Amino acid sequence: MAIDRQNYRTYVEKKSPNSPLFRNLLCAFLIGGAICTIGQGICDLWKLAGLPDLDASAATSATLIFIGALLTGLNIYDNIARVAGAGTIVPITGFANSIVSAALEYKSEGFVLGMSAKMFTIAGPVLVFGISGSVIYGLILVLFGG
Amino acid sequence: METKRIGERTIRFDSPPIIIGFASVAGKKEGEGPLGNSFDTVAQDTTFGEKSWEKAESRMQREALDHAIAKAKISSSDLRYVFAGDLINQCIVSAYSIRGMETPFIGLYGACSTMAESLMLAAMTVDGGFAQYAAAVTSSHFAAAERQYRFPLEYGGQRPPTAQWTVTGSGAAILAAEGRGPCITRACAGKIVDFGIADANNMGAAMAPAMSGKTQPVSLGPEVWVKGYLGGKPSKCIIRFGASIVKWDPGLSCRSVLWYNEAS
Repeated sequence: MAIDRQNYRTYVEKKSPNSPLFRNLLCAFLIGGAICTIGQGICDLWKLAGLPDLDASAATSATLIFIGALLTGLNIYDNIARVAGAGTIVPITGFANSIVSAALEYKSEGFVLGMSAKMFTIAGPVLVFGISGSVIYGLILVLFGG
Repeated sequence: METKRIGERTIRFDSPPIIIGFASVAGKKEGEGPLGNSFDTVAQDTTFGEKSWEKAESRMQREALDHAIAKAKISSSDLRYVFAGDLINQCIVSAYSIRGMETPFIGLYGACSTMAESLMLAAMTVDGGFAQYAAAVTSSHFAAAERQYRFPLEYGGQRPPTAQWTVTGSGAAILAAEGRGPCITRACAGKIVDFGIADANNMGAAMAPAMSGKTQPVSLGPEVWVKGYLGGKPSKCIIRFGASIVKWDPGLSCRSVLWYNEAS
């Protein structure tokens, strides 16, 4: 068969092994779900400790971020993530991992121009769109929400 | 006058340069692979005692070159040129590795093809009468490459089955106009073939088309075939389509090395 630009892509798609979709979905569901369940447990513990509901949620986020950052530093988070996929990227622990892993990686380029500057190379877009989105939402609320 | 050209892209050396010494250094994971026993050195510590991955790669590359020079039983001052390359910005790993040597350095970038590229250019230099001895050196380091092209090592990402694993390893060969050892009889340079593969996690598929095309298989008698694959787990057909082949001919007085496409 003569390979050209047109049929090569089809050929590659046909021959390349696909990601094991069912296994990936199941692992993401189970591990992502487990992280959320742990989060709920932490939230309940903070409430038991006497924090009001809103503060308990904020404390839970902070606790999960701490755990995510710690596991990244201990070289554990990426090993869980290899199996969990989206299950460890989507929760807030994944956000912590993306910042801490970059900070660790670029430490060798210096404290200011290395670590501090490149800490947000992966998390950057999340912040840009997250903050922009909330500003737009806020404006809409002010203008039309009353 | 193209007296040494025998095809559209293939050249033949009149006095085939001889590989009088060669050495390899590989990382721990590579040492555990099927080629584990064939490396001169397998490093258990992939930092090579250095503080950054780039410095580690430089040290590994220099180790390979020094070892090859020692095996060739020459002195580093005998070398007229060092053709070396790596994957990192501005070939900095090679520059730092060659630093301190008095030999002129020619920095190369051919990504996966840098070893073949440096061998070909060193062979042309030796066959052309520009050098009695020339070195061809290449290295890559998994952690340095991940940092440059992909994600931080500790980032929790999931690799698709087509993703490649950059080798931690370095190879060096000393080419000479005279001596004993395998020799390079022909070389065929690759060209840029872009079939529009934009998936950074399927580099085997992006590179494979460059291996096809009008290269001339040359029959040299009894042959043993050693195949090298592009990528970790590409499908069989892509392997066949993109195989890089080293051709050995034990029947001749020297062994010939030739890269070309099996499918052609």
